Amino acid sequence: MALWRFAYRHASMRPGRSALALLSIVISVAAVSSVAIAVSTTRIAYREMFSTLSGPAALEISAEGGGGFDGNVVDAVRQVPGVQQAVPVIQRPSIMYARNQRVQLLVLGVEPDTYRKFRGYQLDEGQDLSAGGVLLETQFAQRMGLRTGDQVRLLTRRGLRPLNIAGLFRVVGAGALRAGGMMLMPITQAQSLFAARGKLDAIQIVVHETAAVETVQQHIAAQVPQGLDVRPPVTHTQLAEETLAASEQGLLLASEFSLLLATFIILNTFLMNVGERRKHLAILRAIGATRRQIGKLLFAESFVLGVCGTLLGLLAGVAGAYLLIGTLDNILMASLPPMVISVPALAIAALCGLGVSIVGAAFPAYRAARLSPRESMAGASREEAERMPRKTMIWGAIISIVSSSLLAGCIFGWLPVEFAVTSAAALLIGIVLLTVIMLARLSQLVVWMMSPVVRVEARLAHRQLLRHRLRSTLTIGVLFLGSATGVGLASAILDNLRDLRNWYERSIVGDFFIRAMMPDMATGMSADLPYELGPEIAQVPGITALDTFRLVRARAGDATVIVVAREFKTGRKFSFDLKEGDPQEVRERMRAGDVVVGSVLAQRSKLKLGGTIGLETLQGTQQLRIAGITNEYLVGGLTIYMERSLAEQLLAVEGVDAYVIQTDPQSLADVESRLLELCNKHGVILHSFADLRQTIEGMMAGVSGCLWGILALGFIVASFGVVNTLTMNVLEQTRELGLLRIVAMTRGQVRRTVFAQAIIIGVIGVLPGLAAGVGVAYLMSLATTPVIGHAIEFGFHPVLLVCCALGGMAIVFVSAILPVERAARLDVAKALQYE
Amino acid sequence: MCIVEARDVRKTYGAGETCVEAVRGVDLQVRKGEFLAIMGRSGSGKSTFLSILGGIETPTAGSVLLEGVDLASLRDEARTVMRRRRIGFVFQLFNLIPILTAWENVALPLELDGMPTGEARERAAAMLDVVNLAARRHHMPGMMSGGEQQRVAVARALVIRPAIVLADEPTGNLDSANGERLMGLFRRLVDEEQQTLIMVTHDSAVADQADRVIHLRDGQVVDGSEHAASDQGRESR
Repeated sequence: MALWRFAYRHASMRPGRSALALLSIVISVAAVSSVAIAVSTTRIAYREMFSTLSGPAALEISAEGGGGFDGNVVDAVRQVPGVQQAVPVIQRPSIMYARNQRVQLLVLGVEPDTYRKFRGYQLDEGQDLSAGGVLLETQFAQRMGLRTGDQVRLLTRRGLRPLNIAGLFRVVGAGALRAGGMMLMPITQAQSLFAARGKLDAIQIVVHETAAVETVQQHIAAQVPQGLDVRPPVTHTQLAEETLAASEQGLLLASEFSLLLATFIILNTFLMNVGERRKHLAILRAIGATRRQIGKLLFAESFVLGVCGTLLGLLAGVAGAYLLIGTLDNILMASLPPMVISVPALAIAALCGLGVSIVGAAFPAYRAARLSPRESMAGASREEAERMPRKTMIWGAIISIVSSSLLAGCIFGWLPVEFAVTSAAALLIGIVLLTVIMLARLSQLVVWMMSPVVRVEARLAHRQLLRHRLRSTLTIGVLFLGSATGVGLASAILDNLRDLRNWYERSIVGDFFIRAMMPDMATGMSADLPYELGPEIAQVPGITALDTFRLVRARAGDATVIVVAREFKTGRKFSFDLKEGDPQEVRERMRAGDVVVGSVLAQRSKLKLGGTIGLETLQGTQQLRIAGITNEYLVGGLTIYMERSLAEQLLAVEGVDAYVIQTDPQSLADVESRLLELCNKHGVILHSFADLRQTIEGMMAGVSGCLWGILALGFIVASFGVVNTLTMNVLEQTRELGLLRIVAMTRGQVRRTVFAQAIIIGVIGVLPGLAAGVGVAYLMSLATTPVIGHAIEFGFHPVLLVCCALGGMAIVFVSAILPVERAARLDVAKALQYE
Repeated sequence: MCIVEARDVRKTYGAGETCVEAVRGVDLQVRKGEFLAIMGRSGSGKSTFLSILGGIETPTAGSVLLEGVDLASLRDEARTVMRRRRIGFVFQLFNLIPILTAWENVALPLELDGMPTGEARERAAAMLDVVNLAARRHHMPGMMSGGEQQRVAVARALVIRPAIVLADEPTGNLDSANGERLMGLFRRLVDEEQQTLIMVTHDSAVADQADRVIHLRDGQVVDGSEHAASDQGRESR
């Protein structure tokens, strides 16, 4: 109790310092938790979407290529031993028009009685499907302001069709709340509207409790025709998770660096606390406090700080997650549900917050526990203070050597490149710890540069910084890490954005694009366009080329991929951002039946140019020759491009997801107005290339905005360290500053002295940090290879470096203002009495 | 009865050319209820010797027995607990915790030993009464005079009912009036409570109040320097 009282009152005396340490934990926990919540929300959303579709099904039959298959199969499947229910479905994304709104939704064509037994949905209003009409999911309908009896229009392959709402339903089970945007209709009606007569998209299989799923799976596979896939439904999430992986990695990296910075802040703060309380802690030791009691005191203080910071950080993280989910929504072009705050996500963030505070306090607690009670005696010296920097140097040397070796291993390919960033982070820490031996020389250099302007003040500043090497080193270290990671991440962001820009400028080639909706970037699903639209577009004068785009889900070995079926006609502009392969040769080979694969797929499946990829088709596994490997940002890069005719042959591809139109430049305006008329008639969307570029640039801005936000937080956290250190320095110098004021140092000179400390810290921390940041950026360009399948071209960004240098020094200056004023306004008489 | 005994105690700092022998083979026995003064010039090793007697430092050689227990043989934790329970310290610069009130400072060793706060508070209040500072128990050290602070420090040293009280120049930072008052308090404790007191001082007037005085020079007891307090000093008691 006594020690708690002691700790609490000391913290109360330094509210600013405690608040800054607390804020650093809050920010780092907020960063981690917002990323964890956003990512888990997105993953859960996709899982639940698929589980809503699949319900209690243990297996699902679908065609390779995701196209329709003969509906007669269902009778044979129902006869297979172990099959309790076989539920045929048509499932298509579509667009619904109602109450002047245009919304995306999922249409399920079902056998009413069979589906009701299978999914157990509950009718909230109106009549069941057997009475005619369609059913809308209740919450979705309420959001739209729709009731039973209202009429809506649905975009189908047969155009916009009016439908009556027969009733509202609710899906029973966990997926209910997130099932929004779902329409049920009789399967025959769906088959008609989507031009799939006699066909099915999937059969959901419920297996008897007593039957083994794998056995039933084998029996069904033996019964169904070749080209049909029998698998558990959960595998559909693979694509979504791959797409998320790249965004996730960037966000996680940024939040990890926030944690690292926060740890340094805590370490510095607690070292200052121990330094300030050194005498008191020695007195406690003298009157009988054991080392363990002193150590526990420090850990208890850090734990309390960690708990408070974590709780506040989690609250801030929830707010941050809300913003991040909005951004991921844009990236994936999916309607993500409201945030799901998962316990594991919160637990991870909480552990990080507590971990940061405990780890940061470990060394100071050790140091405090080692204090000799002899220091309580008058005249006792503090020889221990000088030993610590030597240990710091030794650790710095060890960490630097080990991490440099690991890094070299990654660069030369002896070690997985995934270790590169961790090794780089460790090397940065090692360099920080070694700064303690370079501090004198480096600071002397800065002092020399400042001498023409502020000779005396710079010398005093220099002396004060060297008086506490470890404290100064840690503060410089925080700035160094903040600059290095800031520049590294920022360069990586800029390089990635450039790569993305190159991709869409080379891949999305056309003057106009017509679509019903943007394909879900995670699943590739998109609404069909009406059949009649294509011929009508072709009639528009001024159009020089008309291509179609169709995305279908398929399997290549164990990987779920998206097959992009396009027409690569002669005379059309080339539309790949090739990483391997000659453009002319690729064009010819694709017409001959070869394919182009996305770089991520090539990387994961170890595919090579000229090699083959085994695609599961209606005719069994087909080995397709690889004509080229392309950069690909669609659906996480797990794509296979093939000629439309080949896709129709192998996967029975039907329908169109988008039209790509090239025009005669003279006729651009006329073509646009004609196309707009057609689009309005059919309820689809027209984009110019400029529109599309704006949409994509907007998405990119959202992503980079989030990352810049996290980086800015990193710099803010770093600035806390500077404020803490300078404030502490001013406190310790109180008596000295009082003496200096007496011998006629003006307030302005006092200000310049403290500012000089800030400048020295800033220059030594920020400028080398920028240089290290360029190295970090290079390593990150290597480390992204496994994620995106190719190395991002590393770029040097001088403007970024200059901005970060100016920004970093500005932050240092601003951070110094309060301590400077505190020093300048010292009461001279009181200062002389300060102990 | 010998309550504390030092046998050939030595203390060396540094090594090689920078080696300094602060204490060079000191033997000492102190009886229960004795007031011993250790005198010597600055740098004679008296404060170092006192810190060894109190278990704050361990001797390089030799032993210190407190109530028969060799302090030097104990590990840090055990030595600290011993110090907490059996040795009271009074420092020259008072060494009160400035952010704790008088009673909190006095109760500190008790609470460190695990005594419940209520009970510790009662004992502390009683001890502040002994030193005539009951009315200041809720005051921070910063609100007290030097003499009052030192009396609080004495109360802190006594609250644990120590075997010995070690005082390092306790009057060094006090004016003469407060110094005399403090010495009067110490003398009363020795006479009435049979408290064993070992005090380091360079003030002969203070040393005169002791039962016995030894002189240290260059880390050693000066031969023939041990003597009883002067007759004048004894008579003044």
